[in-house]
Amino acid sequence: MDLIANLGLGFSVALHPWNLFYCFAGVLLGTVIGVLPGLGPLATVAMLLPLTFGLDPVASLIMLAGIYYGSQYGGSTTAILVNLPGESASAVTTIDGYQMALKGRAGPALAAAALSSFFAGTVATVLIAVVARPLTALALSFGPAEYFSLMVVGLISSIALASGSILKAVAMICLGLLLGLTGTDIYTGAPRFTYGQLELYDGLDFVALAVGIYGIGEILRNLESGDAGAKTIAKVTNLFPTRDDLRRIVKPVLRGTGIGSLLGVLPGGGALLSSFVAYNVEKKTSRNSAEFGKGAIEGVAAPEAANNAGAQTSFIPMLALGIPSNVLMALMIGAMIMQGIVPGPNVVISNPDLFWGLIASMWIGNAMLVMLNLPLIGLWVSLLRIPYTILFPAIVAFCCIGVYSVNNSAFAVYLVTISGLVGYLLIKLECEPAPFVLGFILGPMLEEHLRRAMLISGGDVTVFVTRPISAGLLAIAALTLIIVSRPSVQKQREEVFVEEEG
Amino acid sequence: MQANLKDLGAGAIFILAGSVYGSMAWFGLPIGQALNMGPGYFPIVLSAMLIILGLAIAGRGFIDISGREPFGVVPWRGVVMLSLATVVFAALIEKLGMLPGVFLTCFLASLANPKAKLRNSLVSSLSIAIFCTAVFAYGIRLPIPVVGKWLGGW
Repeated sequence: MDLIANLGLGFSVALHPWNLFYCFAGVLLGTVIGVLPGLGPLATVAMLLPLTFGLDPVASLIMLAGIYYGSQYGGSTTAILVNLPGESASAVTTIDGYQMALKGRAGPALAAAALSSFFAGTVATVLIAVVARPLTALALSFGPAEYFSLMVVGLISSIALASGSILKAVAMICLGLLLGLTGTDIYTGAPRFTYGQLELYDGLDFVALAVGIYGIGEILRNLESGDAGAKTIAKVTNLFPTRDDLRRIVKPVLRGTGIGSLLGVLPGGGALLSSFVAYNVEKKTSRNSAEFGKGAIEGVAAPEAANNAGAQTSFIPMLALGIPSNVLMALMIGAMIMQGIVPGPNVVISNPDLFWGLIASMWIGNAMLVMLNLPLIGLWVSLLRIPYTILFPAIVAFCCIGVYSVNNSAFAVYLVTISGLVGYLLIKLECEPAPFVLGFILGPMLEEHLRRAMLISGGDVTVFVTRPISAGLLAIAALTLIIVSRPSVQKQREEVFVEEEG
Repeated sequence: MQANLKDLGAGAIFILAGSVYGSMAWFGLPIGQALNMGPGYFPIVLSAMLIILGLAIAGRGFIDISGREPFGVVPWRGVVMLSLATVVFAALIEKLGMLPGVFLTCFLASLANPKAKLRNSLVSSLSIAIFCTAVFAYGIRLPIPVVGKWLGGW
């Protein structure tokens, strides 16, 4: 049994005391920061990214993954107790979670969220282990043309995730691709778009860019509303769900896990879409549908299961193909590249310890989350009391220190300032940053594969449509573009995002 | 004139970026041909797309003015203070050192809040600076001096 041997290798790596420690540190830090209102997984991961660079590749990715699902989970706690989604994926959880909290059932809501997340995480981890290997085998037969088309699919799908105008999203992709090309050209060694700055010869610093857009930009957006604290935090009394609660959440959790696992794999999917779809499915099919919106435990369990499953399975395309399916995975890929690992299907062959160790650590991390969160709920509640006015200067300081320490470069910190300002301006103009970030990461890879494909085909552009897999992928991309640009779908997308913000 | 200013602004930015990067590639980089692309080929394709999309977005801003919403609140004070805080950090952290540098950065950042009170800002900035010094300078041992050259150097 290959799978068992591989998982054995994974667990032997993940259970190594140091890796266990970094997994725990990641989960803990992720939860601590994710609980803080206004800080989603993206800002958390971007901010803590520099912390992991000193570690060896395996430990650093294990820690990063831990930070990711830790912060995702922390967001749910905030959603239930304060009615503030710490991140967009837990926006749905606020609907019924906070209602439960108002009725004095915050404890069971938290427990339901924790247990369903853990269950979903377990299933999704197994799924990754089963699916990832065959997928890499398939991907190894890919030529440059297929890769190019695959990336186009990824980029186009990111449009579906961005709210607002499709034209703007496509333009943001192009801008990201263009800026991603900054630095020395790999074929000719010619410096591109460096403005004569030596620091830019290795490309624009991705960490600085992400911290600027998601760290500083996020603070500016929070400052807009100007409400400084004054939030009511629900009391947590009894944690244990009743027997009836448990019976009611079994099926929603199963369905949520299924939906999340499926949508997580799709490029552009991930946690956000999963939780939203799962909630709507439950609302439509549940016998207690009248109770939804007034504190139905199913309305907490299903989206929580879905967003955790989606968060985990979005690792599949990242690990197996080296293609980020959402911005978070783009950050993970950025981290991999910085560790000197070339993302792609070769990772499983060249770094099996990293590949399987990361997968095994996800399950361990999920178990740690349950142990960490339920008993320590009092601690998280007290974190929620920190007012934002004290919080955001600290965030600025952490961002600066983190970015600076990667290369001891003041230039990188200036870049944070610039990307924060430009990012905020673009957000104000209703241009979402997510497609930009994906484009930025994929830019150099996309160009490399395009150039190689053209070299191999002898300059024949039709190679992208005459090779069947490539043609199929491009067809998917075209179809996605058509679907998202249809007026009815566009209207629905708007509604989805409006509902989320409200 | 009636127009959707958000679309116009976004369009203008994309056109500007496309023209600047396009001309840099056009005049400064070998382009090559489709068979053997030079370093300028792909950037020129992207810049061209960016300019076309920018024109389309700006053009739509004139035609479809239905989405004309107010630009919303801009926390100018926050924009200025956060920029200042990060720039000061970049310029002075080596010279001031971790403790004074982080203190200054946090203090400037805290002024981004229009309701900031001097005493609260000073106290919280000092606590954050002490925390960061303990964790990053003594804990993780980042190579940033605790107190920099300008202040005697530790």
